Amino acid sequence: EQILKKNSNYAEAYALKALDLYHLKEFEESEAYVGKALAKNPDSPITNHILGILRRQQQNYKDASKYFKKAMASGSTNQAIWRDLSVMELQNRDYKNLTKSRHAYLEAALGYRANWTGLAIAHHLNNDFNAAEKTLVKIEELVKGKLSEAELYENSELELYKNEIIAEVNTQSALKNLESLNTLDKYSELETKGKYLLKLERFEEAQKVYRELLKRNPDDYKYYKFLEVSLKSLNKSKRLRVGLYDKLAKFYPKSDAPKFIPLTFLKSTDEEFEPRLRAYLLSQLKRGAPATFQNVKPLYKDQSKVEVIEKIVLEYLSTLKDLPIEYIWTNYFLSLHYLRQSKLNDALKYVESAIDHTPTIVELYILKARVLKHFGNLEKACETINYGRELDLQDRFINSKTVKYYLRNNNVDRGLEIASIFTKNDTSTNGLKDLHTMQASWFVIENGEAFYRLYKETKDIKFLGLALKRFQGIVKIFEEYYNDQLDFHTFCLRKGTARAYLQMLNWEDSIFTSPIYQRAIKSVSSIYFHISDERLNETEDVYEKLNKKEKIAKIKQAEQDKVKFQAYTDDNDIYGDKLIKVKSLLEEFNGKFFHHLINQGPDLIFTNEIQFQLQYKLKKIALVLGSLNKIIKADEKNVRLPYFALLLKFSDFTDVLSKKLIERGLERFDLKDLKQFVYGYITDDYQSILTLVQIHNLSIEGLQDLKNDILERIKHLEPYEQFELLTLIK
Amino acid sequence: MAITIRRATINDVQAMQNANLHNLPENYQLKYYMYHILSWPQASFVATTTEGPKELDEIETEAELQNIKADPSYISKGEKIVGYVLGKMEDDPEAADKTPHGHVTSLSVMRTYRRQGIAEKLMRQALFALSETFKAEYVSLHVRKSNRAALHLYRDTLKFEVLSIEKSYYQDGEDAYSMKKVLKLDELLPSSFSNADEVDDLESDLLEGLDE
Repeated sequence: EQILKKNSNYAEAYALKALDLYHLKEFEESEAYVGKALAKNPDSPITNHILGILRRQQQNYKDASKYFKKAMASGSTNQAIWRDLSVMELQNRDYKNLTKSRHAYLEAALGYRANWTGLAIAHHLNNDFNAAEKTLVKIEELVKGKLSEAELYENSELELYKNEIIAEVNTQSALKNLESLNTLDKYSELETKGKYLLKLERFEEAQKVYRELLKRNPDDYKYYKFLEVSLKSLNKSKRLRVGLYDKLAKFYPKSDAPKFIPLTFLKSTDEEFEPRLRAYLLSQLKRGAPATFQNVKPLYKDQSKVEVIEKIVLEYLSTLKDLPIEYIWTNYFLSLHYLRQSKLNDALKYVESAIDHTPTIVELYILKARVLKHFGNLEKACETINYGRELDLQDRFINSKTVKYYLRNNNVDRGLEIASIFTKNDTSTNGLKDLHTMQASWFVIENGEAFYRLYKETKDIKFLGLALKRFQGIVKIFEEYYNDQLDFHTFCLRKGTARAYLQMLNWEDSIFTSPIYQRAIKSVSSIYFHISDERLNETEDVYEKLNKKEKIAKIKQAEQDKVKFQAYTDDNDIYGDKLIKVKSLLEEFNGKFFHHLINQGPDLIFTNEIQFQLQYKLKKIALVLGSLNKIIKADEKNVRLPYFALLLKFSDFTDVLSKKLIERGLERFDLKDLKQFVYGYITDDYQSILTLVQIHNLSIEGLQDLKNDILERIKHLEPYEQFELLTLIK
Repeated sequence: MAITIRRATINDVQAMQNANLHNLPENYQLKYYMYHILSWPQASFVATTTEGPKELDEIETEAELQNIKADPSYISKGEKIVGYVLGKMEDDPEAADKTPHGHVTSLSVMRTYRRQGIAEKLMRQALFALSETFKAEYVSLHVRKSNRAALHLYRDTLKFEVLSIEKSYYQDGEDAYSMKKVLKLDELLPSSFSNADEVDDLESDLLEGLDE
């Protein structure tokens, strides 16, 4: 401010003013000053530095990078800008330029180990393993014998990092290097050593390493697998393998892996199978472990094993008249057992037996509610789980489960009310803000889906906006996750945790392909396609059909409800109106929601299914066919393919080019007999029937009689699935 | 039990956050989990299911039915996080005690996976790691006064001592037990708590004497 007052004409002063105004949230004014600063002197190093800082604060890392670079190019002597620039380059994954800035910054401050590490990482990210190793060796030599107690951990981490880099080039030398180390991270040392030895086929030494690892942690399944690989026992007789696991079970009696693994490779007809399974199951049922069923669930892939399980547990149940704990959890087990096989009546019967016996156990109500949900009776499921919740009001787990059920039943108010018991509500009327701040994506997405269903039910466009608002909340959470890495670009260099840091970069590179993000995008795409088809964004007045009095009442209600729906402190679009009232809807969808998936998961089937539909609506046939090809490439039997193919074949594009492109794109499909074509992709699962429904809805000549088949196939699904599909049939 | 206990990595943090939000009233933004994993990559552990149950413990949505593991507790197909322990070293420059010591920020196991010793196993790994890798001389933690199961685990099973009761430690006003355990590395090897009659000498041939 002072400089500005004295020299209000300098470019630097304008730039500072811009930064200042940005902090005062005078965003337009701030941009005006950016313009002024650049007009005055675009080559001032200080101006460029300040503008870089401004852009960084706006999370516009590309432009920040540009200005920092310009600052150095214009002769700034402030070497710290190299560091700021390298951080921006990492954030933008601009590895090519990173080496230069990291190198320059190291030159400016050779005395810090972090700067050497930074340069090594830059080389590594450019796959220049040789240069990365050399850089690390150089600093190792410089610090040799001078390490303080506090630096030992950093040194240990960097030794292991260097070893990782050596392994990129040569396993043999990496092993040799590893054997010369004595780091603080023994798990990593041993795991890495085991990996190298297996790769070099030095099995005798490898088996020793995995035995050492089991001593440290007998509960990690992968160690057992690698031990068997190094003992070369996987192809030997089952009897020998059983003997091996019995030995291991003696060393580690509290670990389940050596008891469980034989059950996976023994056949149900093997003599040993049944007694071992019985011992395994009964010991857990006696303890009353709720997860007993989860623990044997992997065996359910083999129907003959399922029958043995059923026999053992039913037999056991009949002996349990006077053993309350066992009786309850055995009934609980059986309920899950039948639920897994969609035998809902039996599932209900057994969980009710348990409840009749002891009506005070929370888990029983969680299970009963789940069975009722499979029956399609969400109302009763809510009642049931809420009863369970009231048995233990201190427990957030049952609270969260209850909330989920209320949201599934579209009772948003009640769901939020219950969730708010455990949130920090400070000045709010409910926990919505806290759930957003704490990034409770499970809640936010369920909330959005509930609003979307409410829209379908009531056609009140308010719910469509609220749904979009919640889904945008998911996008925001993931953008926060992505931006969170910013500080770690320098932080990890100081700590020496380069290995964890590189894993983080990888993880961030696919963060937007997370299942929950895809789930949000699926709903958002469906909403935007709907708005676009129905031109809902063009209706001036959403309540045009109502009379004046009703209209006023609606508006008043919405105003009152604002506090209830407010997810962020400063939010001028609580109802998400601005997400709907846009001219170019599909661009909005792309720019605010979908682009992250296009960037990070361009080859995913999911991305291309959405892309197909989006580009189809935008009438960009070349792009439509591009996404079709990607789906085929990823999965040529994809169940959605016949729907997409038929959609294209019977589309009403009239221009010659589109027609030609479509014709060529469909050449690979044999469309002579449409029915035969469609059924070539169909099995009897939910997805297949969904595809049949979508094709039915296209009303194509020659495929009009699909409905009967759909109704026949649907019978094998669970009630709630049937219901979902039936509502989709036109 | 088809549950694996292993070191937590950055790929686990979303699911750890999700487990925390489902189970406990003390929640943190993801960055705080990242901070743990990136500062002390050896100090946190997770319990995961190991083999692919296709259907979920959760109630399925349309998206879930379309084979997307759209539940935030999953980290890969069939691998679901059912418990975690978030460990750290004391790094507050203002801290009174300068001896290197660890702290357990948060521990929880999903309700439907309790009563099979998962929490104990997670803690044993964390204590071992804090001592071995970070040379922690002791570890401290806080427990809600009303949480009897946790108190039993720490005091009786893991041999922590209660140092004091901190009044209104939690946001909702509840008191906390402040607890501490002195760490001696040679007493912390996790498998030594297996009550085993036999110990693997690492030398003998494991396949010897077994029928082909």
